[in-house]
Parts: sequence; structure tokens; C-alpha cells
Amino acid sequence: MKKEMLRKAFGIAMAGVMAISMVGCGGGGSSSAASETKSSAAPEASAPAEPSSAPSEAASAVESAVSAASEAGTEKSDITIGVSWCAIESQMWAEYQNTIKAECESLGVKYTESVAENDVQKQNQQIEDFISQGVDAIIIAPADGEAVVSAIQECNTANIPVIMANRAAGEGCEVYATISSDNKAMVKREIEYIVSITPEGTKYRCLELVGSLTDVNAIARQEGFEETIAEYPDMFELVSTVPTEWKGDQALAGVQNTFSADDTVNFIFSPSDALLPSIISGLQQLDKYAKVGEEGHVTLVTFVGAADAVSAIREGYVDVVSVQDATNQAKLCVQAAVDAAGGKEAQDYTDAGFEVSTQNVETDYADFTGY
Amino acid sequence: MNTLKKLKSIDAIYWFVAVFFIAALVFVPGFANLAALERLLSQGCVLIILACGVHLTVLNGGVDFTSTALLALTTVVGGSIMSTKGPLGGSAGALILGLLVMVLLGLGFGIINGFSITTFKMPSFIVTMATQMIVNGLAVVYTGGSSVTGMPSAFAKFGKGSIFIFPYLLIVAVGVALVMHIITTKTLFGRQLYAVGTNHKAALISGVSPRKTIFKAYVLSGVCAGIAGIVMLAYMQSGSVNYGATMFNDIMGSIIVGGTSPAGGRGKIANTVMGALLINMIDSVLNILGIPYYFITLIKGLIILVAASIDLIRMDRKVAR
Repeated sequence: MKKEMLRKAFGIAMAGVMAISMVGCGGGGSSSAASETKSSAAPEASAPAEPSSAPSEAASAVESAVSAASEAGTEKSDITIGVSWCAIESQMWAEYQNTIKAECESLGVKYTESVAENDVQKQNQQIEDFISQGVDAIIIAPADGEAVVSAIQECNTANIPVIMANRAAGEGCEVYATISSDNKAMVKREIEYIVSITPEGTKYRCLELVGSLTDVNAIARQEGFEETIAEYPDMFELVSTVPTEWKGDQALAGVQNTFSADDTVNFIFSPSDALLPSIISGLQQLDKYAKVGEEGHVTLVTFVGAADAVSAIREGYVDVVSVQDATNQAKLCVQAAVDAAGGKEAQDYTDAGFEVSTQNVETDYADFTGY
Repeated sequence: MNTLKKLKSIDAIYWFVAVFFIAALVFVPGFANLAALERLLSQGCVLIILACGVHLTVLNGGVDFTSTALLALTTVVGGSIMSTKGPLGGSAGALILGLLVMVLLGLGFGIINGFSITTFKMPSFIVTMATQMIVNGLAVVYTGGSSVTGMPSAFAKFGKGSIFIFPYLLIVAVGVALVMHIITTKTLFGRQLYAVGTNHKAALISGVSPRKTIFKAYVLSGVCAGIAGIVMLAYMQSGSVNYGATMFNDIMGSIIVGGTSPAGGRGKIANTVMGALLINMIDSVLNILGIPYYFITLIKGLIILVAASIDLIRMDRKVAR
């Protein structure tokens, strides 16, 4: 009886180890997907899929970057890129992830990823594990640009190039390239769009939602909003600022609480489309979800360019969204990683973005569906 | 025959760690090199220290949710004091003051937790959950959410230095684990801890003060969180309100895989340390293998479940005998 119990225990332990080993020997799920296509990669490298958004400047940037990469085509099959995600918690990050996977397959490079669930310590650990894994370049979408510096320093020591995706790293480390948006300027442009279409004498009483306070993008968007409305003191009054940590439930509570305290709020700035469903839900509960031009309409200004936001603009409920081209940024990240692994020089790329509003959604961006 | 008996008496967690480690050395490319092993040891230090602290509270049937929040708070407060960008300019005095404040913060919240639980007879999970929220809030208010950087170079050397493959930080972690092991096995307080965890009333009748015992457990857990904050700050070279955001599951996983009863009264510090090493190794190995995060969580959960089940089966057999 004792021996049987011991055998069972040992069997279970071995099964666990074997299962892990088998999964590992199988190439590790996502890491194997791209490598299987490597033999056919070189001819495809110069012809990646078109970005889902159709802005011409972005598309031309991708084309030039990809054509540069194709010059090093024969070496790409040996390249392994590690991608460290802060979290896949919005449509933008999902688009980023899908595009990076597709682009790696297209270029014929191996791909492996980890997700830190916004835990900065876990992200550092995962980046260090990439070093042990012996990857050729690492793309980092950091949960906190400052806190990831320590891990990037280790990458520097190991001579592994690092590409920052969408968020910059703090000081004290070297990154090969930073692929990001000009968040502040983009927010400024969309607020100025609102100013341009607003009749004189209109007064906006604003609720400002803020993302994570450790996210440089969230801070830049907050600064962009606050600095721009400060330029028009007769038009905008900031009634309430609500931190959300990018969480929908906190955005919903923020909307409900603000309107409970002040029913005259008629403008909401959302720093991300990820919060939009919660904002809409809150407005519907308050019976304040009206179309642009209808009585009681609350002006909604948002950021990112997710499908939900573009769809809401098309339906007439949301006024404007500033679109950061996640598809393009993701392709450029892969491109920079391939160039870095191949010893080429790269440069920082700033996504200028574009605005989709109720005025141009059926004209300039009739084919744009968001991500 | 005696050797076989000795082998059989070894707790399951040691077998798990040994088998997993050997399997990883053999099967996982990139694991069997000195740099990777050094990184693995560095990564496990914070978890070991926090798990040792929380272990004491679990021993008497409680729990300490505050530990991970204290980890974050101590890194931002201590980091801001010792930072070269701070008012003290990263001087030696700033470094000492920062370290002292971090331990005192842990001690202070440990006292608050212990006092609230023993004086107001409140369940530990309610008290520590409340203080966790308070501590989290304080960290965000203190920093405005931003990270703290610019650690003095001496502190950076401590955080990144090692002897062969053994990081300096590991010395701290092993030191804390040793002290906790001695406290739980060689002192009167240790024996009282087990007694209170096993049977609160019986302990009281036999002259043990459950109030004092429980109070001390939470104070020690708080101090451990403060020390873990120092190790984290040295390792990461920055303080952040996000540190430890998803670590509590790993802490409890380490304790339970190590065979500590969540109901209290049974468990060994050494086994909890082994549990922390196992959890850390699972994370690292599966990351190196490129296994997606959600799959890692699933595998980790299954291994914890299997390890805990085996330990329970062994315990049932011992009781039956």
C-alpha cells in the first residue's frame, strides 16, 4: 500500500515534469508559429499585409521600413524576437499583438512572448528570462517605463537590443528604438477640432478621466488635455478629474459619481477607447447618452482608435477619436528588431496619428473600421 | 534500509524542487548556464522573504494581505529618501535613513495589523485587506503614481552584485529565512505559534497568550515586508506602486505547496522557502520555453494543486498511523 502511494506520487510528479517538458520541446506554442514559416519568409518580407487603417503616411513608412528589412532576408530565419507585453487588455494591444505575430511570420523570424499582467516585477523577470533564452532582440511594451530600466540594463550587458513599443523607457539604459505616438500633440489636435466646430458662447463643463499614473502615455494625454483647455478658459471648465488605472469599473464609477455631484457636466475626455464601453454604460444609466446635435448630448472625446469608438462615431454618439496606428507601430517594432538583430542602424519613430470625427468618418475615413 | 526510510521521510516539496530542477537542467535550453541560474536566484529573493513573513500569520490560521502593498510602499518611500534626485542627494546618510524607514514602515503596519486583530478581535483577512487598501492608497498619494529612480551607486552594486552565482540579495533572503526558521523551531514564541494555530483554546488553557503570539506574528510579517522592499528596491533600482501587484498568489502558493496548513498549526519555514523556489522556477522555466502567460498560470495552478494534494495524502497517512 505504501509503495503504491509512493509510486502514484512519483508518477504524478513525473507526469507534471514530462508534460512541461513536452510542451517545451513542442516549441512553446506561440514561439513556434513563426519559425515554421521561415523557409518561405524571404519572398514575403517585402509584401506585408496592408495596415487595417488606411492613412497614407503610415503606410508609406511601413513600406520603406519593410523594404529595408528585405535586404537582410537571408539572415532572418535565424533571428528570434522576444516580446514582453505589459498586458493584453484593450483592442489596441490585441491589434499590436496580432500584427507583431503576423509580421514575424511574414518576415520569417521566430517569435516568443510573455505577458506581465501589468506587474512590473514580473515583467522584469520575463525580460531576464528572454536573455537566458538567448533571443536576438526584445520588444518591450512596458507596464512602467521607469521600472523596466533595470531589466533593460541587463539586456544592454548581454548585448541584446531593445525596442520600446508604444511607451518610452526611463533614463539610465540604452534602447535601440522607441516606437510611440505623440500623445500630447494628438490630444491637443482633437480638442482644437472640438473648439473649431463649437458655436461661440458654448461652455463645456468637463469630466477628465485619467489612465494609469505610472503610464507615461496616460500622463502625456492628461497634460495634452489640461494644457489645451487652459488655452480656452471661456469655453472649458474642468469640473472633475478621475484616475481610472485603465480600469472600466473605475471609469463607470467616475462618470456616475461626477454626474451625481454635478448634473451640468457636458464633456468627457477619455484617455483610451478601452474605457469607452463603461462611459457609455454610465451615460445610458443616467439617460444622457444622446447623439451629436441632440438635446442633452454629452461631448465625448477619446483616444486610440478601437473599433468600438469608430463605430460609436459612425452612429453619432462619440464626437472624435485620436487614432494611434497600432498596426503600423507594431510593424515598425518588428522591423526595428530585425534591423537591430542584423546590426543595422535604427531611428526613433513617432506616430503622428490622425483624428476620426463625426465630420470625416464617412468621407476621409469611410473604409476605416478601427481595430 | 535506513537510507530508504530517510528518503521516504523527506517532504514532497523537496522531491518536486529536485525533479523540476534536474528536468529543467536537462530539457530546457538556456537554463543550464551560470548567468541564468544567477538570475533565477535573484528573482526568487523577494518571494522567499515575503513568503517567510506571511508563513507566520498562516501558522496561526490567519493571513496577511498587506505584505505586497507594503512591498510597494516601502520601495517608493525608501527609494525617494535615498534617491540621488532627492533632497539628501543620495548620500550615505540618505541610504541608511532610507533603509531604516523601510523597515520601520513594515514594523509600523505590522503593529497596526497585530493590534487591530488582537484587540478588536477582527478576522485577519478583513484587517489586512483594509490596511492593504490604505497602504496602496498611501503609495499612490505619496508618489502621484510615478516611479522613483536614481538609487545611489553603492546600493546599485549591492542589488546587482554576486559571489560566483550567488547574488548578495540571496544572502539577505537566506538570512531572513534562517532567522524565521530559528524563531519557529527553537524559541518559545515558535512553539506558542504552533500551539495557537493548532488549538486556540487549548493554548490559552495551557498558559499561552494567543493575543501576544498573534500580535508578534503580524509584526514579524510586517518587518519581513519592509526587508523584502529593500531587496526589491536594490534589485529593480526603482520604486513603484505597482510592485507586487500579482504576487500574493505566488506567496500563498509557496506556503501551500510547502505543506503549510491554511487552517494553521502545521508548516515549516524551510518548506515554504522550497515552495517559493519551485514557484519561481516554474515561472522562469516556462518563460524560457516561450509558453504563453495564460498557459503558465494554468500549469502553475495544476502543479500547486498536485503538490498540495500529495502532501495532504501523506499527512492523512501519518494521522492514520
